[in-house]
This record gives sequence, C-alpha cells and structure tokens, in this order.
Amino acid sequence: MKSIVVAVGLIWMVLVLEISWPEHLPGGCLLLPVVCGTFFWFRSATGILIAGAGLLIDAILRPTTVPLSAVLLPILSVLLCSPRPVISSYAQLLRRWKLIPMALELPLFVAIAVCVDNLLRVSFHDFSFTYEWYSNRFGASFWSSLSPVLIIAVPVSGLTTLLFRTADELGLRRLNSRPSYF
Amino acid sequence: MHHEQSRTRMWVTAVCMSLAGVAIGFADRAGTLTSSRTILQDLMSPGRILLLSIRQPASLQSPAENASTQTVDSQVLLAELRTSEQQRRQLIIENARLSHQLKTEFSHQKVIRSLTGDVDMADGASELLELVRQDSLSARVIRHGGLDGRLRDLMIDAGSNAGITRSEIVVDGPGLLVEKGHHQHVAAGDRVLTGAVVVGRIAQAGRWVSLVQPVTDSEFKSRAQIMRRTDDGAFYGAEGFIEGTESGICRMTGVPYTESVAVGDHVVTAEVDGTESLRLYFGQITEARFLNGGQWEIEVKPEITELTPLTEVRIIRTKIQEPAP
Repeated sequence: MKSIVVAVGLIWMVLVLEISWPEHLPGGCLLLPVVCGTFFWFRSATGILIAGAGLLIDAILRPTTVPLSAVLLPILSVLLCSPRPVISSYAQLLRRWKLIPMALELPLFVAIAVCVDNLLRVSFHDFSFTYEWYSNRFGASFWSSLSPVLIIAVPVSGLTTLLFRTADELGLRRLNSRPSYF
Repeated sequence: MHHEQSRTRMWVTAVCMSLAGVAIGFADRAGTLTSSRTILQDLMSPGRILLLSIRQPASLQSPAENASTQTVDSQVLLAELRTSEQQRRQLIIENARLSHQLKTEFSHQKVIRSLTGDVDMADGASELLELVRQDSLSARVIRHGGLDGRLRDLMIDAGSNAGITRSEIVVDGPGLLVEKGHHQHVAAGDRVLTGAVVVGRIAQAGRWVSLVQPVTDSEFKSRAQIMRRTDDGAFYGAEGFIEGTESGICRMTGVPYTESVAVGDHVVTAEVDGTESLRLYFGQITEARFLNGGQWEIEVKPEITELTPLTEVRIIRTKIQEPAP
C-alpha cells in the first residue's frame, strides 16, 4: 500500500511539473522514466494499472493525434518486466532470449517509450513515401523532438535503476516484485 | 504456477489499459473529453500554485544572471511605460469625447422630455445606464490546444473561485481594453471602438482553471455587428450572429440582404439591449455573397486564429448592480 501511495504521488508530482513548466521540461522527459520505473518496481498488474492510469491522464491533459504511449507501453511492459521463473542453471540462462544486462533494462525501455511517444508528434501533413521526405523532413523533425527528451529521460532512468538496486540490496522491495538476478 | 497467474493478470490489465487508451483517443477526436480535461487540470492546480509560489526569487540569482535579467526587465518596463502613457493619453481624449457626447445626449433628452412630458421613463433610462457595469479580470494561459495548428481549446488559470462563470467573453492581452491602434483617426462625434480582440468565451469554469471556447469553435455563437470605417469615422451597420466553423474562418448569419455589407468591413460585438457596453473586435469580412433565403452569407477572418502566442488573456465580466432600496 505504501509503495502504491508513493507511486501515485510521484506520478502526480511529475505531471504537475511537466504541465507547469512546459518551456523548461519537454513533454514526457520525467513522466516516462517515472512511469517505466513504476512498471519495473511493481512488476505486477498493480504497477500496470497505476502507470497506465498516469499515461491515460497525460493523454487527456496533453492530447496528441493518437495516444500511442498509453496504448503500447502497458503491453511492452508485460513483455519486458513480467516475472519469470528463477533460472537455476547456466544452460537455462544461455537459452534465455533476452540477455540484456539488468542495469540497462530500464534505460532501454525508457528510450523505447520516448521514441513511441514522439513518433506521432511529428507533423504528417506533407507525408509522402519518398526517401527525401523520410531523410529530410521526418528524420529532422523526429530527432529534433526526440533529443531534448532523451537527454533528460535516460539519465533519470539510470538513476532510477540505481535506486532500485539499492532498495533491493537494503531489502526495501517485496521479494515477489524483485527481478531474478540469476 | 504463481508466475503464470501473475503474468495472466498483467496481460489482462495491460490489454484493458491499452483499450482505454484507444477509447480516449476516439473520445478526444469526438470532443467529449472537455469536462474531464478541466477536472484533471483542477486536480493539478494545487501543485501548480505551489510551484509558482516557490519559484526562485530574483535576489538568489547569480550576479551575471541578475544583471541580464535587470536589463531585460528595464527594457520591458520602459516599453510598458510607453504603451501605458500612450493608452492614458488615448483614454483622456476618449473620456473627454464621451463626456461631451453624454452632455449632448442629456441635453437632447431634456428637450425631448420637455416636449413629450415623459419624465419618469427618461429617469428610468438614466438609472439603467448604471445598472450594468463591466470589468475585466486577468488570467494566465496554462496550455493551448493539443494538436499543432489546430485552434482547439485554451486553458486559463482562473476559475469559479475568482468568480468566473460560463459564457464570459475572453479577450487577448494583459493591458487595458483599448482599440487596435485606430484611436488617432477618430473625429469628434464618432463612436469609438474600445474593445480588445475576442479570443473566445468561457466554455467551462472549474475551481481554479477555466476552459476557453475559441471563436473558431463550431459551437461558438455570439451577437455581432458590422462596422465600416470611413474618412468620416466609424459607422455601425447590420447586426447578426457570428459562428465558428472549425476551419479557422467564422461565419456571420442573420444579416438581411437589404443591409449594406462589403469585403473589408469589420465585425465587432453588438450592443446588449441598447446599453453602452464595451465593443470588442472579432475580425474582418473576407467574403460576402447572397443566399437564396434573402440573407447574406458572410465569411469573417478572425483576428486571432492561433492561440499559441497567447500567454495572458482578460475575461470581460458584466455585472448587474442592483439599485439601492
């Protein structure tokens, strides 16, 4: 219950910050790391519910063409951070399809989330299937909107990973929520 | 087994949240999220007010930052001072002209009363002038409409706690309600356009925030009057209704074909039941053609088509003052 209250409070504070200072904080630069962090901290349906609600509120407050992050991130979170059986042998470990280092899981997920979130913020008014359009218009617009968010979001997610690991070491997280560190 | 159950629950929740996201996308397109957006902005307001109150004071900034800020501040203040001085002079001129007009009106009324003997009605009319009072309230723009290039909605940080109610007119700018730079050419005896540009009206007033319905919204409708500027001053023409069309252009309806309408005429707010209310500016007529029903179909290009540059607006409030018993 305590962690639920903290997560809800944190998401509310981040939403307030981003809405109050849009000139300083690009959209999603703090919200996405916090939301992804919530997915990773709980690793349960509760986490998806809280973080998903945060994304839905953000989609209402700051509407885009399609609320892609609110639609896709909950599903991606199940694929990436659902609990798995503990790996007991080295052979099982080698058979595992996902061999991303634990410390990089959250920053990678945040980077994907930022890309997904920014995908539909690009103007598609002059859309065409030409290479020139992709390389000149889409590429430039996409990267220019992506880079300021990534500059803030990725370090924040790295710090969050560090905090999670510290919390695990200190025993502040429930055992069934912890990832399997082999 | 436990992992499998947990994964199933996660999948069910994730799919439900995704479906909710899709539903929100469709609901937003249909425009049914307006009230929930106001409620959510209201929920964010305590935090926003707290953040505004704990912003870094100027004395805590670094000396270099402080110096540059002071230079910018002094420039801004100087510009504001010049504008205010100009506005003050304009208002003095206008005040003198209006006093003169009022005296003339009263003398005319006295003559009419002495001729007709209708003393009570005229006294009632002079009292009526004081029954309606208009004032304005400044509000900061919290956020503009969501999609680029679409003038959809505007959220401001004044709500029912500041006495804002639905349908109140919202105009642009932080300053006084003055005309858009044509005061100098007004001759004595002309009626002066003293209104600012109409941005929209309050669609929904929350406790701390309000949602503004822009003039180009399809549901926007207001009484308006055509005004023509000539070398001899401004002349008011036909009255009708101005409506938004979602396409960035407004439409004026209800003007009979017998009225004179020309491209380039201006459209301002109409007087309310003959009371001397503020005249606010809507835009300029860009196209006018006859309809089969014996009416004009008039296209009006609103003065404000993009809400993005707006940082501060003013809300015009009309108060009815009850006469003393």
